[in-house]
Amino acid sequence: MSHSPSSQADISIATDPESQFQQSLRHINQLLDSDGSLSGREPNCMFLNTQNGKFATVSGVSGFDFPDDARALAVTDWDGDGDLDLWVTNRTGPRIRFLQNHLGEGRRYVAVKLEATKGNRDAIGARVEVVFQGNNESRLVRTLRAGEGFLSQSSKWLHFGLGDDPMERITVTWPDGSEQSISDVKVNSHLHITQGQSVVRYEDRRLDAAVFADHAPVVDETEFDPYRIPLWNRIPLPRLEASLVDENQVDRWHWTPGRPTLLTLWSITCAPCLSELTEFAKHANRFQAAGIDVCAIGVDGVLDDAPDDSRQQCLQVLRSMEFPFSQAWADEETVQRLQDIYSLPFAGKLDLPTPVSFLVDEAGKVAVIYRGAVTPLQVVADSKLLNRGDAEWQSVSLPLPGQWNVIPNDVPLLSICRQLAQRSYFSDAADYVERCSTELANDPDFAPFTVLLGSRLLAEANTESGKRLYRLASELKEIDSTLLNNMAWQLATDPNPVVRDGKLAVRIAERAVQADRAQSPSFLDTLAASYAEFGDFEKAVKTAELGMGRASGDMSVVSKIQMRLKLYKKQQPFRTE
Amino acid sequence: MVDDTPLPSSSVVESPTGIRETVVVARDGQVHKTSAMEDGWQTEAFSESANRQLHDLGDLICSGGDHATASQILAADFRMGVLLPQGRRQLFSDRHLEVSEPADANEFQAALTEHSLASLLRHLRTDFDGMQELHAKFKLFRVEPQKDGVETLQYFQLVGHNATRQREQNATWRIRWTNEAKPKILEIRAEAWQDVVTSELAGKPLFSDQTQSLLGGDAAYQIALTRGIEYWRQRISNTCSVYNFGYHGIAVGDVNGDGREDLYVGETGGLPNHLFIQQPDGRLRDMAAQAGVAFLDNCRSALLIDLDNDGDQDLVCSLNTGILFLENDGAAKFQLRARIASIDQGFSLAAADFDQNGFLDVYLCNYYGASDASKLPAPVPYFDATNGGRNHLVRNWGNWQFDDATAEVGLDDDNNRFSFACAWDDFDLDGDQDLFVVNDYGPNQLYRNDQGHFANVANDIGLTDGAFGMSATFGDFDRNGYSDIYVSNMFSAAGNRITFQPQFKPQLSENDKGRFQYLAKGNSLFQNTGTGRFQDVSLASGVTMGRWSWASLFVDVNLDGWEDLCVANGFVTGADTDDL
Repeated sequence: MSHSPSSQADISIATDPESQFQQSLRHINQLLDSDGSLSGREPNCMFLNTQNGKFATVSGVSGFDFPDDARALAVTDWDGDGDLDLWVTNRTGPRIRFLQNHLGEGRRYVAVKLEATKGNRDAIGARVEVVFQGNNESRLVRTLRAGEGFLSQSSKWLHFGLGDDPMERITVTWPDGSEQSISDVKVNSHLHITQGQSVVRYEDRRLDAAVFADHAPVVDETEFDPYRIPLWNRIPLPRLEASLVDENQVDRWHWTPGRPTLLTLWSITCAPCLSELTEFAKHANRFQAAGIDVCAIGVDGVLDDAPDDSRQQCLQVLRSMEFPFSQAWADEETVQRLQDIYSLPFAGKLDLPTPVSFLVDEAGKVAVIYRGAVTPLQVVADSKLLNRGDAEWQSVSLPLPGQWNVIPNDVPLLSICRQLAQRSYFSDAADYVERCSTELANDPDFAPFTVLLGSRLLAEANTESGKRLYRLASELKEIDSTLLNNMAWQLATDPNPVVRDGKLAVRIAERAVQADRAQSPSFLDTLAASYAEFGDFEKAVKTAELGMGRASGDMSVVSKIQMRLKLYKKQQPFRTE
Repeated sequence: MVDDTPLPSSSVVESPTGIRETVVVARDGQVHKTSAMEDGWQTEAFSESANRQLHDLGDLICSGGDHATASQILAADFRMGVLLPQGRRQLFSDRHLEVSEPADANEFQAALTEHSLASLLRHLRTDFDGMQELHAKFKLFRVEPQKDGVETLQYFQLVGHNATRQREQNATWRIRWTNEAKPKILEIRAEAWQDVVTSELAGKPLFSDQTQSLLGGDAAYQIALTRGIEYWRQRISNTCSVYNFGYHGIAVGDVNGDGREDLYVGETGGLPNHLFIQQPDGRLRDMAAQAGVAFLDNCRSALLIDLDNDGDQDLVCSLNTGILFLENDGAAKFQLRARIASIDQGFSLAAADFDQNGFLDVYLCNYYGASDASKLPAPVPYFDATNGGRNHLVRNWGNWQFDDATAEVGLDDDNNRFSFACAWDDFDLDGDQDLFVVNDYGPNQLYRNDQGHFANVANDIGLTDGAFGMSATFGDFDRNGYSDIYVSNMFSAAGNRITFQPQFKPQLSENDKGRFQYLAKGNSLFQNTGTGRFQDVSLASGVTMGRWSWASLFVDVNLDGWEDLCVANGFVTGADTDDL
């Protein structure tokens, strides 16, 4: 608040993304994403009209003052006893509450349901007035609305508490403006009024009180449940085996393509981990029968605090339970890669717990994440779903069935590659890009990322891999022609002979020129340099001359191309310094 | 090159003085704090410490007190005035409720006298003798540094019950504190006081939670709705649009024509919306899938209205992937008849036949401009932001033909606010439906309907409300025959504390400061005078302190013919127990 702008000069500060105000807002968003509270645990409020223009706070005795993050509120006489009950929706669990009003007993009311015959049939916009005998000063008016408050629509029954006053008649002003009066209305009744009909219909709406067996309010205690997360979109696993620590006493873990695999992260100080692995060992035959590989990955000292001799202890424990599956130790990077996958589908920040398991399908994609211990039975049951089609998998991966108006987008897999690259694992990032190029192709950032990653690999002398990425990027449907041009230029003119690739340069440069209908002199310049590198100097000369023509007198461009043209005429390719 | 902006991680640390600070450490090593201290508000730091002391005092009031802790909270020469009036005047009384006030407000002006903690607690518990489950709460909303010590204003609430009665006392206290890291109370005076007692309810509250009775037998409720959004946010992929803020609404209507009311409940993306059909005994069963309305897209709001005047309740459903208009066949089977994908998902929906062509039209509030719907927006400027979304009036021509009439009818005037909600009513009784629109970060609008054409007259008729609006409802609270307006805003204790300080934006005029103070004031009540104008009676009527309010409705809870108010509030409760 103290950072909010208040004058025109301040406003320009506020629009600056780095202003204090905008920064504060970002920080609040981040905190809310990581389990912070903002006006949380606020009890709902109720104010009683004390009939003198004032209200008394009665929240504390209302039974409505739950500390929920409440949102919508709808009013209706649900139990038909004449007083008004409430439906509330919440952000916190339980996300809906029904609150039964107990003030109706012994009180006088009348409730009216309208049907219009002219104008909208729901009679939205109608105005109903109860007129009391001998008292015309205090009006009792309700209007019929559809939608008000926040995200809420209440009942279309209009309710009138009558106090102690004797009712004379009810007057309805219909949406078309016509008026209608009903006399001799029964007190304590629900009645239907149809426009233009003098006969009204009474209805007994009272529910059997036995339904309301005074259940205890619902409490959401699910926060720390172990849970199973089938992933709506499966996430390909990046290389893991490279960073597993090898030890003499244990097998080195290799992911075997073609077999579903369960990766379980555990540590010696985690009791649920030990009982989980014991179950795995005891029911090893279940996994084997279902064709599932298991690997127990120790995270002692990385995710959990570890005693000095933790590895010895781990080996002992696994030996004593005759653990029949592969075992490995994770280093920081392995855990980080699994952490990246674990957080990817979710908006908030989620830290890896122990134990946590990943069910990887035969194509190497993580299909289910189990937070907390999982039973062999559950894993086997899930493995049987792995080969279902996309639609079926997606429907079983949600808690309840339903229909999409529009199918959601894929998870942003590119962020897995980005994170690998950010930590300088360029070749693992490249491997991921190549394996997942189909899934990644829809991401608008995929092409520029791949080109940048390729150039980084070329710079690191990982030329084969770098060129493969260039080729991959150049074949993408959506790619900016400047990116194509830049790749081709590097492949044609790099001073390092290992980086240069005339054939590939020509292919990529031709695509850039085509895309641009041979308009850009720079693109033609690149194509000429590519032909020269490939050894086709005749084409190089022709293309360079075309490029000069397209430069339309821009002398700095013309002179550069002319300089290169001279080389091509001497059967020499061009090289950057 | 392949390097992205580092993502910050956050952590909470205790500063050396014991004052809690929330610290965001970016991976670039930079430290950003959102704390009282960081903003230079020494008084905010003081408020945090004072709040802790009040919390402890509250515990002592409820538990009866532990004398050993007296010196931790009260100064040695603690003094207090009358906190509980002897003479009382009944303000309201009916069969179940009795409200009293001090007979003579001067009683609070009596000279202060020295007291022990024991006598303070005894004094406060006088009316709660023999009552159980006492709850005490404080809300500190003003802090004023003095030459010697610091004065604060706070609301104090004490609630308890016995076998026959519930009792609630609400007071406003002025407390003078010592100015130190752990402040001690020097003086307490009362400034306002009210007492509420129930009867004939066997010591139970006015309302009881009967959710389990009605929904306990339904699997969809048990699986989806007993759990909070946070639970689902950790389990359903965010690509399904699971938004942290949990903005999901409810609509009541009889969808199968059996005379019993049913519910449509919006859900987060990845969970199907619910259509709860009421069974003959009042219990509910989710039949959304059978009805063809179990949409998995993120749903904020819905309306059950008769769009084609065939006598059944059709459905308007606002999803993040489009606004759907579905036709009911009369037996709760719905068929998609129109889908407007070009309109972004809005917040509240409200229907009225604005042009009196006989078909209900729908107004849709669109909060976000271009920003990310899962985040708090970046309004510019803060108190008069015009970078919000565009609201739409969807006109119904009948026969499931709709068009966007917004511009044509004059509703594009001032139509770029952060609009959360709207409501229709005929405020001037000229026979057509006027439209009230509630905006966050800017003024609200009252679009007066003049035979199908709208003009925003809010400022001309006294409806200026400079607060952060969340929703509005119409109701005739004073029974003069004209609809009044109650607006949900944000009551911010911190905002109140800060904006009333002398060092708050010292360059501003009192008038401009007042505008900031109003932002945190809380909810507003506008009385319709019947002369075409409204009067702001918020503070005088005692209805501002609704906290961070969302839906508020007029409800005559005790059937005395006078509209009471129910306020649903609270923004985001995280695992972190201390609020920002």
